[in-house]
Amino acid sequence: MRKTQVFWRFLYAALVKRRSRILISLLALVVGTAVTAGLINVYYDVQAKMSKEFRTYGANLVVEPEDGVALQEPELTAVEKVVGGQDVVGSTPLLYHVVDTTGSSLVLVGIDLKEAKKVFPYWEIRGKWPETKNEALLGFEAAGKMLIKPGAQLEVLDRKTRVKTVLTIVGLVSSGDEVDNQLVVGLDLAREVSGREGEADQVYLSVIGHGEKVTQLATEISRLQGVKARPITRISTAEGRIMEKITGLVALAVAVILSLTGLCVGTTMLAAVVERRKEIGLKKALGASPGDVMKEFLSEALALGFIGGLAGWLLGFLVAQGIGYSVFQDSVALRWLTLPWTLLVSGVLTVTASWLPVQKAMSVDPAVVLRGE
Amino acid sequence: MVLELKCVSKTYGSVTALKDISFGVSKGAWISIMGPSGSGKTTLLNLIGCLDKPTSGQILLDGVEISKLSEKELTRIRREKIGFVFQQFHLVSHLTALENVMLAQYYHSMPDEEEALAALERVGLKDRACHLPSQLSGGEQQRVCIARALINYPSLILSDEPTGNLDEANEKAVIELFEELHQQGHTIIMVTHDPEIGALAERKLLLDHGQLMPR
Repeated sequence: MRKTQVFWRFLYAALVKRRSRILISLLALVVGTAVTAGLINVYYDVQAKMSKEFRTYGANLVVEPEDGVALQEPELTAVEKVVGGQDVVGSTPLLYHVVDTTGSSLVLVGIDLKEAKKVFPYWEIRGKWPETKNEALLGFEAAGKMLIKPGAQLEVLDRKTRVKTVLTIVGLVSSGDEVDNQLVVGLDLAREVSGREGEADQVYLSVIGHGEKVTQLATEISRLQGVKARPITRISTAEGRIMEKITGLVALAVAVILSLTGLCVGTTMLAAVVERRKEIGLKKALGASPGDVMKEFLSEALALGFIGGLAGWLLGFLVAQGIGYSVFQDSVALRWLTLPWTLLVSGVLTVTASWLPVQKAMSVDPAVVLRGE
Repeated sequence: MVLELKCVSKTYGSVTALKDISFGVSKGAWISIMGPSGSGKTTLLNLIGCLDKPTSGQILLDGVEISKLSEKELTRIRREKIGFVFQQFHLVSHLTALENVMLAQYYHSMPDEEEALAALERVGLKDRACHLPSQLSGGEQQRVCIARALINYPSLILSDEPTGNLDEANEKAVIELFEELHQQGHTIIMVTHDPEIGALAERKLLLDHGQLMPR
């Protein structure tokens, strides 16, 4: 029989037949690694999920003409091309034009009606979203002043050409910003009314990602001729700060949990060494070197770390699912990369926590512990 | 001579545990060491068993001076030349009788399950090979301990009160086993309190206050 076979046989016996003794260590490891693996799983997913959640706050990147006049068709196409390859929730050009209505003037805003829903998800609409060319949204405050309700017709006149356009107000928009006083229509109609074919004043983008990623995309777009892009800092900075805080919190929680787990494993191992000092003394009397004793105890610790780590990883994945569903109403993706990391962390933790107890085991004096009574 | 002690002394601080002990043990001999508690019997056994080093004097085991050897070399000597039988048995509780015997093989050289089983058969425990120590009687545990001590063909079997924890029936079985071993030519050094068991040895050493009493 090979020596390694017998080594595994003894290790198996030490783990299985002493299972009630190692249960506390194992439980501590399972709980510790489960929470750690769960948090790591959630942490990786939370970045993507939080970014998506943040997109309900609207655009976080704005593109403007470098000359301050207008974005032309080729520039818009170039921006679209850059943005196309990115993780973007939505983007819409905006075209502003002042029009006259009965007794007052209004800012007409042309938007991509399909995309704008994604870029401005926080807009509250009373009525319905415009679908056809002559349908429009009227700002909540403007509607109040003009006593207009959804379904009403509104006649607008271009100041220069005096061309008249009749719009159907299908909904009132409340956004908490300047849109409350504006008239929102499709981009094509705005271009027609203003006579600025192919132009836009701004492009609003809602990009998944925070801080650096948005800045990076802004820099990339700004490299294009005739355009400049800037992050809407109040949104992207807030995102960055929250992500930083979450990272810090996860790191702190992991550190505390692992320290407590290590402490528990270390204490249990120390108790095991004290309990097994006669066994250690006997092994030394039979010819085991301190190195042999260290090898046996560290192997037990590593095996414990492996079993605890594996069970903890599985449990951690379930914990992550729980957190995912309760916080984001979505599942958390299984990340296989977390398995080797969890096993490594668990192994290093048990070996580190067992280091002092193992030193104590190595120094057991057989002459003292085997003394007869 | 398997073993030779020359003016061996052992002190712990100001306490003298053994003083000027000299004797020799020839191959195949059965020596009993007797004496009251605290007379230095276990200390002497620990020195012979390479579990401790003398403060002064020489101990020769198979002609090798062991008193000045390093811890590592003493471990090797224990592994190769000594078989221990303890009063408290000292079996590993999570290993079966067979595995406890194989443990000595494991540290010595190459474990051989068949040979370990044969050693258990020799002490009449083949059918108890797969039992844990907790499932064996005191006498059976001591017999496993003897099988373990024999498995590596040691030069010397050191036994510290081997019947101290046994009832009369088990004591008899274990002593018969020792007699058998002696007849087979094993060299035995046994520490005992019991004059009857001591009398079975072909030579008795009496210790008192760390000194050998004249015969």
